[in-house]
Amino acid sequence: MSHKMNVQKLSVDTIRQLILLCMLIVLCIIWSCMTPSFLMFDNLINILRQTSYTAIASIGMTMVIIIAQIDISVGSLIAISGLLAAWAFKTTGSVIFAVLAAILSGVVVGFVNGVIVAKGKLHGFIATLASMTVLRGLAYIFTGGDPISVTDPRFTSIGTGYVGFLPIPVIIMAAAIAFGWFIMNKTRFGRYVYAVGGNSEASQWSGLNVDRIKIVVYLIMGVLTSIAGLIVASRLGSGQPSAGTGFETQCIAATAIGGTSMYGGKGKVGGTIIGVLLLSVLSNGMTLINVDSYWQQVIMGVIIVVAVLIDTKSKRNG
Amino acid sequence: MEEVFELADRITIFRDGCYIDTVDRKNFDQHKIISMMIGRELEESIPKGNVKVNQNDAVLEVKNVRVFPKSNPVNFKLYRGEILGFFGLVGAGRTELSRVIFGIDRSTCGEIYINGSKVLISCPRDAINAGIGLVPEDRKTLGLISGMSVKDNMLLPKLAQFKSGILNKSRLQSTIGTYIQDLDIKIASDDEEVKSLSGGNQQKVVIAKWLAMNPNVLILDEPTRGIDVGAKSEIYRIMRKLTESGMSIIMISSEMNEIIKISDRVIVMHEGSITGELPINEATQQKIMECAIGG
Repeated sequence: MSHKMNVQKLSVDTIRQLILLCMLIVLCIIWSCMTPSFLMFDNLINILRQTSYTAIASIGMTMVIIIAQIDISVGSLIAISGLLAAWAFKTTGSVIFAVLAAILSGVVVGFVNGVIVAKGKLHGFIATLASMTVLRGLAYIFTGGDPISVTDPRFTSIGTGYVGFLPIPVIIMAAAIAFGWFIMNKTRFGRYVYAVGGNSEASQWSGLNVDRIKIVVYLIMGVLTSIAGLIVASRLGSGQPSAGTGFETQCIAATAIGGTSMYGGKGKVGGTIIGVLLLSVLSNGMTLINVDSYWQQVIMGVIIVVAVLIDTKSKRNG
Repeated sequence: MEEVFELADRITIFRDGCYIDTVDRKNFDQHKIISMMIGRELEESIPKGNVKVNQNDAVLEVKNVRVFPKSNPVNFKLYRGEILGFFGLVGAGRTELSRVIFGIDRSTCGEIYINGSKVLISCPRDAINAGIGLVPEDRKTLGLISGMSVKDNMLLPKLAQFKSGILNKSRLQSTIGTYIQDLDIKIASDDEEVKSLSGGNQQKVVIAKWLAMNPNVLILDEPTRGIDVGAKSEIYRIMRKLTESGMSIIMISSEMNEIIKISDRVIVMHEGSITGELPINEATQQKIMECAIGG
């Protein structure tokens, strides 16, 4: 009897992922019927490129939410890391320094967020609410409100360049997905992340260094976000203090739609990626058929609620 | 159990998820029902181990550890291959003592020796490395990660010992080894989530998790709380088998019967201090209770 239950349970998870995938495919079919330009190769590549920033950061967000925390400072970090990258490139003229400056900002911000959450015992929502405002403030102080433009193609090619027919951001996204999948499925650290999210006290009683695990997860979140910020700045050809506004919402929405439990302990990188794609395909199609952008936001919100309702319902049945 | 006999007219018995029988209460006594529940006669007494406790071979020695700020310091030794029962009323400080030994809490003073050498324990990992395992009183919140599989729970403390941070399937499988069969944990597969298991099987998973670490000292805090009679006697049997293989066990229990039946030696605590240490042949219910209320 219990064996049967087990099989059913496993398939609930798989079915959920399949449902998401089907929704994505159906959506694509609908869009291609409504507008021939949807299925154009350029448009599909464009969708992937637009997806890349959110996807890269959402992998980190998935890990953060699996440890039953949240990070709402990612939008501000997109601005800060982009600004630092642009500034570093302007000052030194070196792409390597630009990349290092961006990643360093991610390391510092992620580390500080992690320490406040782990050692200060603040919930991530409060801790990153604080860093969100601080970072956004710093972004404006640092620039006086003006963007830092960089037109040098060496810098802008990170966001606009191609290798073969693939945009560089898409390649970076692929690498980030591979990294996230590997960490969560194939490493000891991934097991620890699920364990801490499932029950942090029992993890501590099993000898895990819970604080360190939380800090490293926030660190990974910071680094991935800063890479996304670098790509955004490079694509725009400027670091903007207002960049990334609302970015955290997209990451959290994609993660939730992808089936990661807000209570922690459960979630898959693959699900999140489908979630990100679903959101971008939805918005791309709506733009193509000229849906008003204000209405797009309303529709997005409704979709998020519906997707998460399906999730909680399937969990209750499982 | 008592409730059933007080209230019910007829009693239906299940075992391992299968229907066994429905009987009239009047025609059956508790003993018969228990045998049906566990599928065999319940042996009244668990065989006492034949291990001769060597009083020179202290595996664990606790010196001057203060459990509560104002209580007398605690001193005791745990010998190789014995089951040392810790009895006390609620609030006597037994769980708190185990938390200090396991590195969850820190004591302001005192020392802990393992096999004669002093160890510094400031977190559970230190205790685990010193060869200590702890099966906590509250297995649902402290012992297990209920949403994770049996396999992943069993592996959790062990993973830190692997050299590589990249998991190797066959290595993981060999770590789990035969504990599931040895402890007779009833599961369909080791990928099953532990939350779907019965209390007794969950407790066995917690024990298996520590056995995989091959500890010298295993502390069990209320090991049979919330567990049905069949699984209880199985857990006693497992404990006895472990001590025969050289492990030393501290059993914290508030059940007088359990303490008298299972322990080789009994320590009684009262308000954070040890008020009695009795070899099992002197440990009568009367004496233990007198110590427990501070007498």
